[in-house]
Amino acid sequence: MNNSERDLRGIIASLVFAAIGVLAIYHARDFSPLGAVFPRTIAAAMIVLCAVYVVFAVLRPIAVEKPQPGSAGRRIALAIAMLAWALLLEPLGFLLTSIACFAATLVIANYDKWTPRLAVTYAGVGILVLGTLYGVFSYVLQVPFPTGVFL
Amino acid sequence: MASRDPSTWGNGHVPGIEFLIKALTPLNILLAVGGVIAGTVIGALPGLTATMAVAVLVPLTFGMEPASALIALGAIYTGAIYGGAYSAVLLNTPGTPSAIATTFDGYPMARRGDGDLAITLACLASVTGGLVGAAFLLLLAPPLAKFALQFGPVEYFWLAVFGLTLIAALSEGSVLRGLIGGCIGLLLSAIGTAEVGGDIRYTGELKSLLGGIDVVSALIGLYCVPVLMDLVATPDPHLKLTHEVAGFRFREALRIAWRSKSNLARSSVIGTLVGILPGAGGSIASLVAYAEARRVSKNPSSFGKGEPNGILATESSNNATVGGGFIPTLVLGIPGTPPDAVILGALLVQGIRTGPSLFSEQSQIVYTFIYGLFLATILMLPIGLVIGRYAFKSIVSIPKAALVPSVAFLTILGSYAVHNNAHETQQMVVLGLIAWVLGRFGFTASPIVLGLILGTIAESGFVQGYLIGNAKGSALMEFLTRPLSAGIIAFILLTLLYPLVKGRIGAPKLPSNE
Repeated sequence: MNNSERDLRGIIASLVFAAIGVLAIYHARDFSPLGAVFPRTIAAAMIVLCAVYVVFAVLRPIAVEKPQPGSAGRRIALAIAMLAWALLLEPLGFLLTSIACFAATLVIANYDKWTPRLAVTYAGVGILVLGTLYGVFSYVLQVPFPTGVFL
Repeated sequence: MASRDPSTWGNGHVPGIEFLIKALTPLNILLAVGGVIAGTVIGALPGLTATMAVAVLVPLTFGMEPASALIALGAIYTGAIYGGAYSAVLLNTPGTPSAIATTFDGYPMARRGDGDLAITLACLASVTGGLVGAAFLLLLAPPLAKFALQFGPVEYFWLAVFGLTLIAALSEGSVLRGLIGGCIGLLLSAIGTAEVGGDIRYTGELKSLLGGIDVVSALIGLYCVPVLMDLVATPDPHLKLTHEVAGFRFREALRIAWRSKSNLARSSVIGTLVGILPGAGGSIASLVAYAEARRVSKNPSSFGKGEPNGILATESSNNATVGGGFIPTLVLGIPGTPPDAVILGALLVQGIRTGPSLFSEQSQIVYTFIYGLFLATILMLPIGLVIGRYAFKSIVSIPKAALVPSVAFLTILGSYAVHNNAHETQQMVVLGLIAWVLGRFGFTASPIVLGLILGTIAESGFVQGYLIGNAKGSALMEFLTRPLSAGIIAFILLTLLYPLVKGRIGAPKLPSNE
């Protein structure tokens, strides 16, 4: 096969999963027999499947699908923004964190040239989306959002 | 009146037309319309489940007449199950767990420019499934309720295994990778306090993991975060638009649905039967129906790549669980699905005692409600089409810079609102990032989700069945010899082996020049 190659990513992932399986079996020694039977069985099955996968991947090169290309920087920035959003909800409050992180993700996702008009438009979108959903959830559905240190 | 006599059920006798007339009062029609709209909108938001939709709106029904209150709740419920399809198709994020399997073909259809057709197909299928479920509720409630009582832990275990056979179908490129993904999901389902035995497993001393990984939050993370990660990476539009959004593509959808009428009928019946099993619900129903639709299909390899039959199967089956779930709820007082448990509570507040005598002693309420459920389901067609078209048009026309933060906000909001718990939001984000990394290594989210959802059912069914079997003398016999178990095992084997047998026997001989 011309486009075939060894699935190195798959091999690496399988080895990691096999290690997770070993850890799962190791920790299962502390469980009662009834509590241990299911995770032990699944972990053992996962180790076997990973081993078979590695053997197949080494012996038989396959056509490997390339991951979707794109900006690594923006992806990392989004990951950081999402993590910050989830972690700061309680200390900073839901509304404040959401305003900041909404703005951050908007900047990350924007590919157009920033103009005053665009900035005002997106600010309006942000106020509309955040205001409407926060209002509905907080006042209509009575979801008790964390207020944090400021609100 | 014959229609009030439960002994006439199951004999093809249709309870009186007078109840239909009572269901068609202006107030009931208004409640059905409002309920379907509210349910559809809530169900469309990732993280807000049908249970939540019913739960948050149930206090509004306390001042109503019992039949009207039930119609409103039934409409909210059926609307929410359908609404889950919107985000499944347009954002690859199931709005409700019932719509997980809708993502398999709905999102690929949207990616290739057929999102509007997918939404219309979902609407048609939901209405069909809802009507079939309601018809079963009207005509066959008592015998089906008895059937539900035959299901023990062993049958639930095999049902979960049946759902897991779908992994083979969901494994893009490699069944082995899919199976490994399924194992990861099953291991994730073991995190937290064990349902049987109470062991605390794999929590790493984190109190936030004692309750395990919340399925809804996990779903949002596993499906939605990777989509967001890829959305920001390129300036390309989110969804292709191959044509002007001018109509519903209703005729085209109707033609496809008519060609697939056997799939619709089969999936609706599967949804009804799974719906009557207490605790099973729309997610299991749609997975089982999807597996069956794929097995029976002449072109199973098209499933997972934007096959309309996949959407028809999942959406008809999950909406059929609405009527199906009401069967044990009303006949036995055992909620068939989680939203039914909330509705059961509302019935108690209304002073209605469910049970076998309900249909004879309070037949006016029950039959008016059942006809009201028909009404709400039929109304879902125009309402669903209009909302669906608006949702599709909005998603394809919103610039990425506005779409990404809006969807990200919804994921945070939805995962938090499930239990008002910020830890679940953190789990959602972490699982989402892991899913994106795994995607780069060739492991897709669907088998993991399947394992996560079915793991708890499989484990508790297995352990309870094992204990019961040991007490009887042989666990193995308990698992293999019960008639219903044997039936499900036969289906599992059929699902797994049929493609192989079909491939060997049915493979056409190619002409020599090919």
